[in-house]
Amino acid sequence: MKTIKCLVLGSAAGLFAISGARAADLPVKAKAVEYVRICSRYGAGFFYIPGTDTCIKLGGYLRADVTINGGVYDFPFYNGEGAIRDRYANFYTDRSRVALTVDTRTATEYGVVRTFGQAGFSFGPFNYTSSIGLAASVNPGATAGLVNNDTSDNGYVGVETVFLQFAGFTFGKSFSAFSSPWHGYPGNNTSFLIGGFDSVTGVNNVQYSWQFGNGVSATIGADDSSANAFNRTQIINAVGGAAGINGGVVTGGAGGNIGFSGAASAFVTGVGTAYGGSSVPDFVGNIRVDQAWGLFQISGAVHDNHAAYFNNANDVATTFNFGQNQAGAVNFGHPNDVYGGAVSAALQIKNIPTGAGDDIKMDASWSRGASKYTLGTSGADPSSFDILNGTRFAMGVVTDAIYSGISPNNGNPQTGLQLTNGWIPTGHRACSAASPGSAITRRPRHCTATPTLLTLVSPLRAAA
Amino acid sequence: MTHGGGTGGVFNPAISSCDPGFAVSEIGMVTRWTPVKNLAFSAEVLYAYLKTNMSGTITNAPSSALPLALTSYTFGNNGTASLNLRVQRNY
Repeated sequence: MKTIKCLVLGSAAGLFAISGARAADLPVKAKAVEYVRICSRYGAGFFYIPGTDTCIKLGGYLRADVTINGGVYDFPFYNGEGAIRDRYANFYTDRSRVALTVDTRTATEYGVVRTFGQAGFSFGPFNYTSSIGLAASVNPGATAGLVNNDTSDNGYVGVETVFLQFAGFTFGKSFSAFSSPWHGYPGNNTSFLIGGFDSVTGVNNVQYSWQFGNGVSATIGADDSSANAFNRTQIINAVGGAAGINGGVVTGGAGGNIGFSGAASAFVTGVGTAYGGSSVPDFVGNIRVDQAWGLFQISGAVHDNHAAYFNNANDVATTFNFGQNQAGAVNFGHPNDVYGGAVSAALQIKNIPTGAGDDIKMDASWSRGASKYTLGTSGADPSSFDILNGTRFAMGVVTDAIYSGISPNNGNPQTGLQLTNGWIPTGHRACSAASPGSAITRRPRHCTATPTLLTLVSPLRAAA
Repeated sequence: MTHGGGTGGVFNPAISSCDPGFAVSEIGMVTRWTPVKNLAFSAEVLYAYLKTNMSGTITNAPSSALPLALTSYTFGNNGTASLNLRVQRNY
């Protein structure tokens, strides 16, 4: 105790001495101090980048979560190993993530120029498959920039939104004009609530917005159409390979089969889908009324169904070939493009009597040849829903369109693209908006997601 | 979610109908506790139900790429429930 006292005293004396020496030796000259200057014109949190007239705001979130009897992000076991409950399934999955946002605004003679970027750094189990993966030698996320992240020190980066706004235009990776402001999240945690088109992590696009005043606006845009995480599911060539689902026979291993658990792929570059490359972007637009009482929006989309050839489906990841030799494919010709589309209506009612900040959100969507717009979810949709319980087998196949090529194997007649219809008659959820950041709530609040019901009617009903 | 190819079972045409259409419905509830501003603990339950339009039976495993029993499967409707626990801090 005595020693400590001495040290403390000694230290204080030393400081005093130094201070005194400075005062004696140096001339007193007030130097301007460059404090961070607050920028108040765009809301809380902005400050000026020193020496410029650009305001910047840094933000983000940190999240840790675990899903039990499901995949990452509360993925329900509606397909994959978990859905058949085999011993390869991960029955719980967890993830840690930190996301960073950088928002800059600059006042110019054209109005405010804005840039926004968000990236998330995540660590969790191997992709979303929620299994160790029977195809463990293949990294299904490789084409999405993912590394094999189920080992220590790895992880993955998600580039979520990157856009620039100038004079009414938006360029970059931003929300689709088809989306409602809440995307697929009227109040839920899960990224797998079916329904409500979800572009919450952005899609590459170009948009232009008109503001008519009084909260009324209109936006048109052209969205990238090259990946099924945004606006594609799959096109099936029913006779691309040895045999499809024609003739009442379901067989795997061939182009156009509608097999179990992703024999046709969730990924454009995987096995099975007969989609061609991107040809025409998706044209989207909305008209929105956003006022104190709530919000109403009507949106629409036009989607090009652009298949490959009559004699094959794609397996771009390996050989560009699935079922038939790729060589000679052009000899068989290809189905003509067929345009599909979707419409959606979204409604939000604020100030409901259940509590401050509570609201009701609902939306309904209809699609034809553009099933992704009714399925929603921010990631790639499953190629099929497959849930097995004992020997009872539930199955649904997700398609934008189905066609049938000439097949030497079954001689079925050739047909062009037939579009799939999708409909969510009650894409309706209500919730109390005690979401993070919106209110301080000291006791738990219940946020209810009321039922969502997706119906997908396939054009192909092979007679038994 | 994808396992490549593999061969499938045999559809029994006499008593079966191959209609890949379906309806999927979900219902869930999330409860959040926000002890301080911008910090939320939440628990979410989610139930998904798949109504298939396929009917009849399929023999052998529906996919050879999965460790399924070689038996007869009957098309029918199934559901699955999940629980998500999350903590999130926004800044």
